[in-house]
Amino acid sequence: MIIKAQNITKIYKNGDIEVKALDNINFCVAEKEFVAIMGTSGSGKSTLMNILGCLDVLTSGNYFLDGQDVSKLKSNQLALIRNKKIGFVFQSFNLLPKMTAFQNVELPMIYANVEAAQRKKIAMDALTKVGLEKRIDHKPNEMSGGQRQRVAIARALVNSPAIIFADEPTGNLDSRSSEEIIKIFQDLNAEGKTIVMVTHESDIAQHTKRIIVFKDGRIMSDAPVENQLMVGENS
Amino acid sequence: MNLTESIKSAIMNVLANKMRSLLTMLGIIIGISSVIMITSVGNGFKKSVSDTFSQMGVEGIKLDIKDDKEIKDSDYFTDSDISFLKQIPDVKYVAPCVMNTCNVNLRTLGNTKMCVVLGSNDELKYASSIKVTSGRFLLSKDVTNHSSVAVIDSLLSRKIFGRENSVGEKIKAKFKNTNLDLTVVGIFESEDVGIASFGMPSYIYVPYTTLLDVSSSQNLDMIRITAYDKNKLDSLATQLVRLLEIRHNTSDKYYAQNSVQTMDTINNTLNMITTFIVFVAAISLLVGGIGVMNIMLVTVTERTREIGIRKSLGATDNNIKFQFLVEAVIITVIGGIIGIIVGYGGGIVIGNIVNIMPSFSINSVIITVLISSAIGIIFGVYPAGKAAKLDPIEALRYE
Ligand SMILES: Nc1ncnc2c1ncn2[C@@H]1O[C@H](COP(=O)(O)OP(=O)(O)OP(=O)(O)O)[C@@H](O)[C@H]1O
Ligand SMILES: [Mg+2]
Repeated sequence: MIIKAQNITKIYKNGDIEVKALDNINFCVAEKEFVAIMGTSGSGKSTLMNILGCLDVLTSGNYFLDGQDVSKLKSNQLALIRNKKIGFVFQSFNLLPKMTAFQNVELPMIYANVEAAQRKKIAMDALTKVGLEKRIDHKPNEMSGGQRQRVAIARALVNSPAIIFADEPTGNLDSRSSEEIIKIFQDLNAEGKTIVMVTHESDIAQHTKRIIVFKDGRIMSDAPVENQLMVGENS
Repeated sequence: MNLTESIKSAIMNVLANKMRSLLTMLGIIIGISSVIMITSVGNGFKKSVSDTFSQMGVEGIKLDIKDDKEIKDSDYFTDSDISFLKQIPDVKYVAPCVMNTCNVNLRTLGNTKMCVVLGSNDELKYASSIKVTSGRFLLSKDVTNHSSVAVIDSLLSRKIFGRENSVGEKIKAKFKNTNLDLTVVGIFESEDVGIASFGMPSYIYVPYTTLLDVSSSQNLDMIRITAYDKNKLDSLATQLVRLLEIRHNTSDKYYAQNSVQTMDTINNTLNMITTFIVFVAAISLLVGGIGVMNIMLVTVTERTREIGIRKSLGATDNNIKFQFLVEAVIITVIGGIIGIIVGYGGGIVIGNIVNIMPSFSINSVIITVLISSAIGIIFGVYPAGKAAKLDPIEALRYE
């Protein structure tokens, strides 16, 4: 199991007001799965992704990532896990605006102390994989949304993470770019990468292998996709 | 993340905001440059003073008569004082000094030049730092024989005879009442005494006995003493003044100038000025440091999202802290280096105006770089710590 979530609960406290964003969540994700997480706005999808991505800590429960209990780790240990085991793709891309595509992709490897020559090779491979080998010296504001998201995916891949989390990766993209992104995810999944992706759109969710639906911080349903749509087949 | 990567990224960020970085550095630049400027000129001045003194015979005592007192004839130093002083055990050399002026014909230009004639004895050679380049200095037999011999400086020789070595030539010296034909027996090196050289007259050394013969009085103007032990200069000076007062049956007419002491006084004054400037500069550095801290805090807030992104990619709190610390240090060190350049530039300009060669040292550069790094660390720690403590999720959400 890559992910094993046991009774995960997350409560936000703002003064006297408490918001139970996640309420006793239990589920597992095995290797090579491609999971879509759906649900209405405010149902707790992002909260879950942040906790699974080790960006946030849970209020109670246990979370095992790749066999390791990460629920009680300190911030520096979490940073190490984020660096080595997790690739994160955000809705808003989250690229550093002053850096080129290449420099953005290189960054996780700098924190992992990979030496420069190897960094260059891996970054070039990752950018080639997402079809941006001709855009390496472009800054984010010189690229389209779809290209930016592809840079972000390349960046998520360079440290060979155990799992990739994507929070509405196509939320800011038109349907054409969305399709490109989904295609990349499907290719990565076919190569054996484990992916968990939040999405609002059910036809995008149909491109994954399993759909978990959230409501008010709980799991409403969790079912495999009967006929996974493959990009390029239907259109 | 290693140091080179941190420095690279820090330099990139400092350069991305050139104007702001420069303004942030301003306090540091002003502080550092003023210290460098003052100390380089001050040290140059000290060096020039000490050079001047060493050329005049630093380890000596000058016995002189106070100008502001009513002087009786019996108060003046005489020939017999010289033999008396020579018997004192701590005294090594005694050189009397009689001053007069004369006019000398310049053979090359056809006109005359006024020269200072110093009457002394052979021991002046040791009581000052006269360097004889050809011929010889005065001998004791010149003094006893009242010989008409002269030792002149090479510049004067050039002026009179058109060449530096004029040993054996004769000078016609016109004094107030008489003329004297002096045979040149030695040439000494013209002194390049830094600031003191400005408007320096030409000197002719003759035996003091010879000079007294053509003078109206038999008084000595001054006596130079060299001691065996230069650590005893202070006590010896007071002792000699007392002994001379007893001999002349007078009081409070003489003073002893100990050249080491004089130099100390000048140095003390200089050190006081330097301390004051350093104090003012320290305040400027403090203000500059606070400026750096202020801008770093603004930078951290502006770059909250960047910090969130870096943390999401695996940057540890220490990575982030180090990054901002390095940026603060880069800013202060660049400020320090600009300060050094501006300070030395200013030192050269001021040095030109007051005619002092400013003194530069590699030590001051190293110390400056260390101090500016320290300022960067001291005032960068708080903003860097603040950046490191940011929560990744909140930082990522920051707009
Ligand atoms: N920092 C916070 N402080 C307090 N409440 C929060 C905080 N973050 C999220 N919440 C609340 O937790 C709940 C779950 O939010 P979350 O962002 O996980 O929803 P979501 O499913 O991702 O919604 P969306 O589809 O709009 O992105 C919401 O009610 C939200 O208001
Ligand atoms: Mg969300």
